[in-house]
Amino acid sequence: MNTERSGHAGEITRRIYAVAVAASPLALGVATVMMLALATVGRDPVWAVRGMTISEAAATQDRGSVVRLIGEGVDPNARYPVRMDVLASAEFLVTPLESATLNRQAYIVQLLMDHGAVLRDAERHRLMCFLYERGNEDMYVYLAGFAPMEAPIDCSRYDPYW
Amino acid sequence: MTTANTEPSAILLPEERGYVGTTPSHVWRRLAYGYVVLVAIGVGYFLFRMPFQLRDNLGLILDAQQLSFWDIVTEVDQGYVRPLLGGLVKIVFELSAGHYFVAYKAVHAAQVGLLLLLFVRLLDVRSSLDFAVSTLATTVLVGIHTFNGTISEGFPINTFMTILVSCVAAVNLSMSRPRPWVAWAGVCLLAWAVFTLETGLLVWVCFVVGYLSGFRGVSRRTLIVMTGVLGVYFLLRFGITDAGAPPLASRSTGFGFSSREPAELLARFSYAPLMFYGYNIVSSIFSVAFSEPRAGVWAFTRDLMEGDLGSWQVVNIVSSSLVTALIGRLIWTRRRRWAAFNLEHGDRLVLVFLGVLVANAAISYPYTKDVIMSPAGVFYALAAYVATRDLLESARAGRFRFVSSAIVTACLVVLSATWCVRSIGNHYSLREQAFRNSSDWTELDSWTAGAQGHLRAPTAVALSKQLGAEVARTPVPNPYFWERAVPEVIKLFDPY
Repeated sequence: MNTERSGHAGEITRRIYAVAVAASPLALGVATVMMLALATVGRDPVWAVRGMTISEAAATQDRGSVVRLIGEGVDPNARYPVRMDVLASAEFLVTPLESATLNRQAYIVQLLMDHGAVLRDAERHRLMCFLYERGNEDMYVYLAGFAPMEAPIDCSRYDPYW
Repeated sequence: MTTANTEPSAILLPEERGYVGTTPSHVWRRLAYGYVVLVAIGVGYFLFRMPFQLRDNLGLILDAQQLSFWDIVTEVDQGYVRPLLGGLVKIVFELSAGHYFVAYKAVHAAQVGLLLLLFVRLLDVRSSLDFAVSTLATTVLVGIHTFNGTISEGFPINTFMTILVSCVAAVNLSMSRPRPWVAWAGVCLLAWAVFTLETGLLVWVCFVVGYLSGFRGVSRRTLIVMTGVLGVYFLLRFGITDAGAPPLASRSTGFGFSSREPAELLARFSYAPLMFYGYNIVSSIFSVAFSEPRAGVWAFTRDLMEGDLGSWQVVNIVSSSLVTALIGRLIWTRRRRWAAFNLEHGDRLVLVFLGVLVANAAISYPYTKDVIMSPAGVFYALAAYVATRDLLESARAGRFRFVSSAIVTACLVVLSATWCVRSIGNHYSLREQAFRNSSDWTELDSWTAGAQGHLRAPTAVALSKQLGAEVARTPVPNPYFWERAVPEVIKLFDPY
């Protein structure tokens, strides 16, 4: 009788262990099924490429998206919104070049210029003043190297980004 | 060559394994296969969403376009004897009919599927208990850090994955009934593996350890032929070509708490190379068993001392330590039976794991890297299956004790959950890799400018631009926004 009871208890313990072992992998399996099902109807929750402007791509070092968006006909010299907390704690309307510069992405600046973006003098002036004010010497020197600009730059009336 | 052998198959019958149940065993087996098929589809989906790599990839594809098959397989490059690596890339290139991306990704995904199917065949699932533990073992296989490099990279065919499939196929052949075709398949498999990548030598280890532990799918005579294949490989490597052995400090690798450059390694170990090699071997073994060190760097220990431990490091160490403890428990409880050579199917799998672990670490003597230890990682998952199943079986015989049962249950929940986190983390890393690959292709022009010889032929440049344009049209998710949305979750995932 005792042996029978012990065997029954052991069987229950074993089943509890089996559930403990398999619960997480099976839940993962269910999640995989759901992900694949959503993917077949174009609503993939894991690989979704959410709407992103070229200025946001430039700010977040997304070189692939920068090139792709320009290839799709997006104007690299227009202004696009950058959502809050990407550049600062507010939303901005900036060009991709401004966005990349404000986030100190010299490589993205070069990439944009290789793909048709033009750094206008007024834009460069504003950026350089902002960088100077922030003490960002590297990007300041980088921008200054593009073309001669009258020195010293007058930053007394410039409009800071934030 | 003959495989005549009178010994019975190593696979035990259900009644020999004490199987008792109401549901037919084939139902549980099919469920286990269904689970790995689902996992394979999941991984395959991620692989197809990921663009090609530029640097490790384009050169090989252009070689396949510009060179003949013979030129590719006879090329000895930088001390490597890997003729079939480029050879397979060439074959797929020619068969792809211009659909290069689909063809190479299909081969990669097919390899993952084949690996998982062969893996679950080794588990020999027959009951609900087996099925439950098989889901954990699959998660360990896909979640271990050594597996990551086999899915996140492509050359454009991931040859590390080719070796994983070969090793698991070798054990499948070993445990099958001895037939002439099994012997021939075994020899061909070994030849294929060793001439693809250095770790292909582990296929021979799988056959030999399998034989020594009682698998009789291949005979002793076949093993002698296989050893002859190995002899040809070493003759080619050390006698006919100048490939030889990798020099001391051939590349940067981890030592202690950081990664070291070759010059520093030479300065430190040129007079004591054995010490450096020994460190790499021991590090590789520990890396599989405990996820520490990683690539020779004891990062967990360092970060623990500096109070800068990441959540993912805790997940890795806890999950690996629990599984290794289970394997240790199994070895301890079975030691007398093993000494008497009274072995079951599961015991043989664990012995093959131990053999592959040591041999894999020995091959890693020049430098350590996670993906090089991927064969040992796969067999670690097999051993995890055997050890966990044994623990659950032992519960049936034991008396019920509330406290100890609650502790074991809690440990199993933690073990299972942490391995799931690692598995998700490896999937997540593919998103990161996709982002990196997409970004790297923006440097195609500078890559082309640095290319030499046949890689600068007009047709090669045209193909490069075609592949680059395909990548540029493929949107990939930007991890920045994902990480902003769920920062605490991302911290659980291994970033390497």
